[in-house]
Amino acid sequence: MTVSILIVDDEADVADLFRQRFRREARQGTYVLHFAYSGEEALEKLAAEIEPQLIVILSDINMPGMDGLALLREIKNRWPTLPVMMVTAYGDDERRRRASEYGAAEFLTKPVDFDLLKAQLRQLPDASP
Amino acid sequence: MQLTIRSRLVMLSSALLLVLAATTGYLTHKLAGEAAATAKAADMFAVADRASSARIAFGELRYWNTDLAVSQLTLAEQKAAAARDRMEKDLDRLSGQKPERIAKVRAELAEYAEFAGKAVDAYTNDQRVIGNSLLAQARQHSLVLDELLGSIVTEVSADAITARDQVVADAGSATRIAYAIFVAAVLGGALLTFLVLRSISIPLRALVAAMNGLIAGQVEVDIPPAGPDEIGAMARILALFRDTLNELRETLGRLKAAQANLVHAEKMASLGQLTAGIAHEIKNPLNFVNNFADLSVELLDEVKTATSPAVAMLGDDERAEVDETFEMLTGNLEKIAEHGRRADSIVKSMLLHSRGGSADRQTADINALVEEALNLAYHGARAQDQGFNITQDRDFADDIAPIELVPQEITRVLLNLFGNGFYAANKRSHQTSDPAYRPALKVSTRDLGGEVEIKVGDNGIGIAPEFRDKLFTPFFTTKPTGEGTGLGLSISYDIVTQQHGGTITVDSRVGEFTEFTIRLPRIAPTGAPARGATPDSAAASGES
Repeated sequence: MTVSILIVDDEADVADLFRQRFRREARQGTYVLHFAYSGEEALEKLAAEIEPQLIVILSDINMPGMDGLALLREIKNRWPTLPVMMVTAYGDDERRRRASEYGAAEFLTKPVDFDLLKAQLRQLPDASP
Repeated sequence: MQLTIRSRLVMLSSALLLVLAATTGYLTHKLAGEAAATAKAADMFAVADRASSARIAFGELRYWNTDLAVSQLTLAEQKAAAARDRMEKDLDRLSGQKPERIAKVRAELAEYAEFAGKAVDAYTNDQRVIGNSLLAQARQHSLVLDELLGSIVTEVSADAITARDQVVADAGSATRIAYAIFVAAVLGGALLTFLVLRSISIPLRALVAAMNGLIAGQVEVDIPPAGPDEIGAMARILALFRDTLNELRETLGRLKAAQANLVHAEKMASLGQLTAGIAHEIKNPLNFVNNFADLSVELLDEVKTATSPAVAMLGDDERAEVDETFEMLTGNLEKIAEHGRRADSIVKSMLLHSRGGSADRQTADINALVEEALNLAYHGARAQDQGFNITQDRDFADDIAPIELVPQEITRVLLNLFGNGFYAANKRSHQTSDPAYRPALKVSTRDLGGEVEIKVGDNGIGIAPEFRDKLFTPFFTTKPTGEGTGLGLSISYDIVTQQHGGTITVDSRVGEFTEFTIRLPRIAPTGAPARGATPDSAAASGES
């Protein structure tokens, strides 16, 4: 089973980092990585395409334009069952509370602990339609 | 002087008016007496005139009576009658003054007149001898009468002169007395005026001196004692003024100290914020460095594994060269990762400045907290250095009422202070040549009522005076590079002053001791700024 992961972050190097961290899983076909550099681009990509497989969205919160929390609400509006994990450099209670209120599956603080992230991804419920 | 200035002035002018009135009254009285005496003296001169006039009239009477006796003329008779008439009138006037003598005069006059009348009758009847005899008898009486009148004139004149002399003498003494009274009144008035003015001017001058002193800023100026008069009232007000001034000055001093503290705290707070802000900015790129360094180690391992068969086929020299290159690359990447982690731990310390206000206050037993932190610090130090040893002296006050604080933050502060104390004492024991030196750390707690005090003292190397001001500044450290971040005390300062509204001060002597004193108020200021949260909340408001 291939899981599509959409990673939303305004920092381009995040794509390289994820690609390298997930290179074995990508080679094995466990995960397919997609990248968007803004909330708007993420919504376009979600609306346009991507595999019907389980899609996990990893979104930064602090982004220019539409921020992560706004994106989270929009996604939950249109695809209520889609699991969304929020990632932020600011792990304060207020953000955590709002992310959880808007329906985020996980709340991760930067720097991302990739071993932990992989464990959490494996535990996600099978949300494939 | 117990009277008010007003009463004093009223009394002074009353006294002066009284003297004036008394003098005037006395002089008026004297003058009236003099006038009466003068009039009386004048009267007496008039009486003397009368007496003379009576004597003259009697002379005429005698003459005309003699003439009548000889000439028998009617003219003489008329003249005699007129003279007698005049004399009678004079005697009437005089009888008021000397009634007895006048009565005698009248009796003599009557005798004389009788003999004179009889003599005239005798001459008229031509009885010359009888007439002569009668006339001689009349002459006898006339001589007595004349003598009588003369003595009266002399007497009355003497009386008049005496009266006049008395008047003159009285007038002279009255003038002298009036003069003396005038001089006494002037002198007395001047003295009284002087005394009254002095009683006003002396305390007034003292008051003015006190005021000038106050204006010049002499706080402990002497203020004249407060009497019941107006100056006393002014002195009281001035004393009140001085006390208020003193209070104001003290308050100003405290205010200035508080302001200095506030400015310092504000400076430290903004430095803390700056530190946290920089940490946030560095954190992301550092993450990339660390992540990519880790990845590169992994990737290099993969390359090594993948190329190992090919490398094995190489000649010994080439293989050794490739292996060495791989090793160097791996070593470099490990160094990048290691230093990256070090930078990361510094960044994490810096971020402690932005703890935020989310930490919960809890009621805590301060002694237990201190004890726990001390054990933790000691065992931590022992874990790093097996040879480390220090005498721990605990002086905990019993029955300190529980205090509200954020336990993990205060523990962090205590760990910092204990760690520094251990370091300083340890360093001195390495430096000193004194075999008797024993490193020691003394920790004491005290309940000050509204505050709880924790003292941490060591007998280590001490802190140079020039470093004391910078002690709580972020990144300030005297430790060698790598041994301290310079953030421990600045974070401690933040926790104590900003988060708990307390104070942290230091006392030290180089080569002898260092003592930190923390005071935590029981009631934390309600407006205690959760300032660490600022960078976050700014970002949050940018997002929403």
